[in-house]
Amino acid sequence: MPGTATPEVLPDIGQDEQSRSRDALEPGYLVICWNDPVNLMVYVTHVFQVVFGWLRQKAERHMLQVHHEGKSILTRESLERAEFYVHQLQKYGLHATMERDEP
Amino acid sequence: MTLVNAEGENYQFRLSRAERAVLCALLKKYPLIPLSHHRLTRAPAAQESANQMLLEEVMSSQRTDFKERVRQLVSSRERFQPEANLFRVTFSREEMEWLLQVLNDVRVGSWILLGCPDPDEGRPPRRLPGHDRAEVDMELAAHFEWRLLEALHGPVDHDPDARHSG
Repeated sequence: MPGTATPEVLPDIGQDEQSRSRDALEPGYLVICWNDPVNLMVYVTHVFQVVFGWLRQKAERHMLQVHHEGKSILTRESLERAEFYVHQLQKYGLHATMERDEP
Repeated sequence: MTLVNAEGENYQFRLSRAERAVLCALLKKYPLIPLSHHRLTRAPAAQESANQMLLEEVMSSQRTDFKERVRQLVSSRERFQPEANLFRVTFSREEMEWLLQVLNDVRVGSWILLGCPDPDEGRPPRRLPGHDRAEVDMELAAHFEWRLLEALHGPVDHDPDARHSG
């Protein structure tokens, strides 16, 4: 049918897939460690070193930020990487979550 | 529990009979943290999401693995070598890592049993029947965590205030 314009509307499912794959790739998630009164400071430092491969100095800086400010943003990652890091931190019993980095 | 020798990836400790008994009793308490305690995000809408379920699956799988490792360790006669009134035990670097996770689970799980007390917030421990030992277990688990961390990183701060971050 010449002259008839067909609007290109992607089905919803396509949009979902698009946004999921965008989420999976873009570093739009923050991995946050929250303060609690139970985990030992030296233990938290150790966990940061093991999970992120950080040197002791950097791990201690983040641990102290958790201690003094109530939380520390440890890294900004894609959905999948953020999820991976939260899993690792929670395996060690730390209070860690991932939150969307809202503009 | 004292570090006797650290060579390569292996750490040899000497511990008294009482320490061995306490360590094994603590390890047998694993796991104490309820699976529902693990939250992927603070966003309330995400509590039933597939990602949250995946986290719980990962934690559940780790539990099964660690429970078996604990069972093998505490039931092994060869691992704890008698030496006069003491025992010697050698842990690999990998074993140190899962032992830390197990001990910290017992510490955090005991804290949860006590109602998540927080002296800074004026929240005292909640003492429920059947959980009389939770406070003691918290401190004992910390004792062994310190010993393992000292072996890995050198002397650590034993100040009771050198806690709560995480």
